[in-house]
Amino acid sequence: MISFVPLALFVVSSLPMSEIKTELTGRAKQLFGEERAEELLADIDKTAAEVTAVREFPLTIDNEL
Amino acid sequence: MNFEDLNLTQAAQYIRDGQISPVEYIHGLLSRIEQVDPRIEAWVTVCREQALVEAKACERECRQGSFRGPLHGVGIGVKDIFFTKGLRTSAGAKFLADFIPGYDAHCLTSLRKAGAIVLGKTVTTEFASFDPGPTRNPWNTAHTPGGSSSGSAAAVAARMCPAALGSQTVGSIGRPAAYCGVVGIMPTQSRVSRSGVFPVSWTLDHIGGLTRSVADARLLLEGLSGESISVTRRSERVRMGVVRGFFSAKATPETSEIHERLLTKLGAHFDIVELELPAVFEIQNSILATILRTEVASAHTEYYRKHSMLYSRKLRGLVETGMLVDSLSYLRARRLQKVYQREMRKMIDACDVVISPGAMDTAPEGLGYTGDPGFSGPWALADFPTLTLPCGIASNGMPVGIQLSAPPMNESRLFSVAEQVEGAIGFKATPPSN
Repeated sequence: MISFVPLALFVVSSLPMSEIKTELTGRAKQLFGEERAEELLADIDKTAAEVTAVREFPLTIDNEL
Repeated sequence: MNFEDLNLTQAAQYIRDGQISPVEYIHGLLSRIEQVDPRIEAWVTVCREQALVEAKACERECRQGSFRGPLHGVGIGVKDIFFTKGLRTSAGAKFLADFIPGYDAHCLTSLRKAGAIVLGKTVTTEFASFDPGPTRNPWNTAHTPGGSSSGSAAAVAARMCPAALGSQTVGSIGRPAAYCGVVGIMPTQSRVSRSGVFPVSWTLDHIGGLTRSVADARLLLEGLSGESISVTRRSERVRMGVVRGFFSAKATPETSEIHERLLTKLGAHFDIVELELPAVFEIQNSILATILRTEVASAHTEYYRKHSMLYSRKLRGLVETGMLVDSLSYLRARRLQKVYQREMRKMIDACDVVISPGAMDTAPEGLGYTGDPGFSGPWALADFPTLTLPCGIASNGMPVGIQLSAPPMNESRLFSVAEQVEGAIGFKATPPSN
């Protein structure tokens, strides 16, 4: 059965990349198991870098208009 | 007459004029496939009998002076992610090896109405993602043709068909077009229906194709969309925008040199305008990748649950990391895409089209990697219709391409300028063993 990690940490938009990576890795372990999560580490690094860039770029209601 | 040398426009015209018979023409293309494909491996399925049955029907209609449409009797290839009624559609996936759809993709129905005859299905990377198929580059079979529209680009370059359908989420039309020395058209997303095409990313998928000339690309797009695209030349000089920065930094020295030489040549015909990429361009790849991962994961939820162990390595990794991305990050990426699109449109306001190198380098050696799509992704994310066309040959004998991009729904302007650029370049080379 697939279970879900609480999303509380994701709500904070300015998490450093290392924390985002930790969060993604934890979720991968829960979804796919320790071994598969280990195999995915390089992909998780890349995903964490992309998510960090998306979260850190300034985005306000003004610049969305 | 060598039927394989006829491009799409010529073949359609010769059939209409009665200079060639649809049966002889289709037979000629099928013979060419038999002769060349064992070396290139561009086709998953060739539907020889059905193509000849349709050619005979087209020929009867020709004799009665009746033509289905502008592509009457012309043979095309169809990337194996487009549904084809009664014809195997495997999407490059092991677990779909025997899947036969009950209907055609909407855009294929439109092409058939225009008179096109399906010769067969062309190789795609697995689900149009990053795991390569067996296809080789006709310019040098030790090199990749690019992906994901690998078979379509290689089949057109090797003269096995004058046109083939492709799709682009990041760089799946532009990159193989550049690597194989053919023309690729990625239209505005809403121009061509995606109904009946395996999705990669609903936000980013574009339907288009590969041909051997700009006029052919327009004809193919008209068939795919069912809409006419007029081309009118303006009396004033065209303003051609150049973006350096990111593109100059990432291109190999030889690609940059060929591109700069071309700009000098084009300066005689066009006003070259230097453009500055907006600040949000810095994270365009992260925006694109976040949307792509998440949507791939969503599209594959059911298949993954049943067949995860049958996925190839790269796609499986993409699906699984997509499952890790939280909804707030995904939605933020979608919001940023809108900002990116708006800023890119502001940038292009200063000109008619933007020119950029078609790929960072020529097709890489080896078949295990389809190359870097990083020069195509920015235009797919912006939803700018983009034409890729060949502009020269590098020192390793492989073709080099350029891209021309216009604001969304400005295909008319794009084709008009591209025809002028194509004429100024005068690219005539063909694969050496052709």
